[in-house]
Amino acid sequence: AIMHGVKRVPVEERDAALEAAKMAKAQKLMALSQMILQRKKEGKLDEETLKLTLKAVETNPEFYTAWNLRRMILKLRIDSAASTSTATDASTPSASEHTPQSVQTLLEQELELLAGAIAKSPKTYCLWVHRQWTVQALLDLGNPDLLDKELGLCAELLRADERNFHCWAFRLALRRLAPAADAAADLAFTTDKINANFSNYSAWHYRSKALASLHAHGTQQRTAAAPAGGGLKEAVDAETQLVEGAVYTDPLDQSPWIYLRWLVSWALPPSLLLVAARPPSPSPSSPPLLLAFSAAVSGVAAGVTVTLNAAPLTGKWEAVEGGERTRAQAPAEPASQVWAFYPTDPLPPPHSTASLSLSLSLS
Amino acid sequence: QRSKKFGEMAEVESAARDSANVEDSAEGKSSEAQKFCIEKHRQYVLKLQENTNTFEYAVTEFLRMSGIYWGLTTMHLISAGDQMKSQEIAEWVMKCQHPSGGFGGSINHDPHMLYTLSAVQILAILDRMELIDKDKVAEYVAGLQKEDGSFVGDEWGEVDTRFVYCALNCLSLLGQLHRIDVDKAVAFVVSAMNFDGGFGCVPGAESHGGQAFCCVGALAIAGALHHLRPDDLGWWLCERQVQGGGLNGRPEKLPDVCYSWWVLSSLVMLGRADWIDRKALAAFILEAQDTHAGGIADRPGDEADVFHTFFGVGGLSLLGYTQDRPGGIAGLKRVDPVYALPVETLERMGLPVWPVA
Repeated sequence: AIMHGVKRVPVEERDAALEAAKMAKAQKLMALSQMILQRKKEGKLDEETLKLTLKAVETNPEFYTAWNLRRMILKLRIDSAASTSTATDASTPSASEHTPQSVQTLLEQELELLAGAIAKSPKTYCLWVHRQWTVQALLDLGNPDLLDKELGLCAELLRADERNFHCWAFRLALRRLAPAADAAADLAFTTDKINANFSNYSAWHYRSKALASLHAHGTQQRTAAAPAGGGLKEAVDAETQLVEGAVYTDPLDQSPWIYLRWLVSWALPPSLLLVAARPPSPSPSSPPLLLAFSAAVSGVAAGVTVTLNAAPLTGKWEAVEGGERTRAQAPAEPASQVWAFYPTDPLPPPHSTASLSLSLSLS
Repeated sequence: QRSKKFGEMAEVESAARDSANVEDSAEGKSSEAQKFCIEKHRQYVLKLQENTNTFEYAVTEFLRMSGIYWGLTTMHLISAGDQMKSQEIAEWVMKCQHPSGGFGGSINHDPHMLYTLSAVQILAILDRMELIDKDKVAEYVAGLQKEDGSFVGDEWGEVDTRFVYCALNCLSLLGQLHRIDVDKAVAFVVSAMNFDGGFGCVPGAESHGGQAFCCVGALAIAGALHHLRPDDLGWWLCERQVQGGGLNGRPEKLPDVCYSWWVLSSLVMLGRADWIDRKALAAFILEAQDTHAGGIADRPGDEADVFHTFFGVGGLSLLGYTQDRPGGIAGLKRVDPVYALPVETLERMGLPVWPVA
């Protein structure tokens, strides 16, 4: 139902023997699939079902129900092994044949199976979902070296195909499981990838995340310790150099240009784009004064002073974004591109000679 | 209100496009109308219902529900819906439902968000929604939402922005959006926005044309399009068009007809469909047809399949080559970019239809 990169061969030109072989294979697959689904219906979560599902996923890795079944069986064994290991009475015969050691072996074998399957079909969602599940199950059993090992495998796979977004996302999931975020290491990884090939959009993407994390400023969340090397300006200079290198190598490659556009807007402080003062209106929801910034800002109540004829006005600042719903769930210190000011006393009418001014001091 | 604004922008574009089309129709059928072999495609989809002995059919059993949705929607878009075995299809769909309310990809396959959406879409097109307990299905879908607003595909916990779209689309069709936390779902989608204005499969993951469709579509259903950066995303999306006129899904990738849907519908929802070369894309889709056996492939010269046939037909419809437009293709009907359903279906159900572009 979904074919990619398969050259069309008109029906009359197809190899009859090959077609017959494919049909035979199809019938075998259908029979195997029916057997597996029947066993699932009958609740046969056993060794035989493991064998059959293994056979099925080797030809048909996208058969998600087969993977679900494998997880059900593995989970049963994991749970059974856990209850065995918590048994304190030495005289009680082992509740099951499954021990933490045997489960460890099973899960390691599952990773082996997945390594082969992923090598054959590196873009099949099921495989990455199953890998993540298996890795988590092993982490729950201990296995402190597993994360590094898996990261190593990711690096290998990305050497083979640097744009495999399944692998990059899996790597992201692994990094999030690590005890401490290391944005500097992530940045370095993307540097290697970009130096190897400037046209590696995936690497530029992950670079934007690592950079933003390392040099969070303004209203962004800083999730990592600042690097020893320096601040935002040094980082931006380094990035600009990297972009220049890429652009001189191949000016028609879109990756560095899209990255540069982001870099500029990210690195520059927000600027005030628009001030709109409206005539006094009987409607309480019509804000007399609106400010629009180029990026989300917070701290407006403390940082902006509105003065009328040199006297500061009192009033209320509210973040405006998307209307009613946002106001209702406003966090303690919202960040917004648009802010509305409601002065305690109404502003003078539009044709008066009053002078309204703003002074801004926002971090 | 925001989607109305984008709709208004779309109407301005369509006026510009109409003036271009007048030129074609003055000489008779447009070149696009001449090249689209509608009858071949009808025969192609009909034959798919019969050829159940192939290897392809066997290995795609797990997604049969979606396969039927692609075929059925295609036939309705090319004015041949009445040729489908509607009763058989409806009965088969119901056999795939589980006690939980969810639907599997085929009979006895485990329930999953993807196939639950396809099932409801099929029943919507067939006007057979009375067959399901809407509350039950909605409960299943709503039960897949997590604390952070994201959605998993099934009990095994895969999180993907695709599933937010599936949930919102499905619940909207069932009239049960109130069962989920829409604000949190929106917040999750927004958290998946990247440096380029695009969206990845999870927060932090690289932008992809398919995810763009899912995220923009989800925001459209939620009435939350204002969170987008339309110029940034519009630029990223229009950069998907390559020399041959086709669209790819990410930078430096090969063009693929399915992106005529994912990328194009996103541009339509952004009111920026005119940022690509319309005629060049249409030419690419038409080149990818199998003019002998029918159907459309991922790219010219490749084997056709029902997935690319649907997205190719949908793409041509979104590009404005529908029968109601000058230079349009006789028999080609309008598709909705948000729900990926025939506009007729949404109109019958009283659901919002994206303004014509």
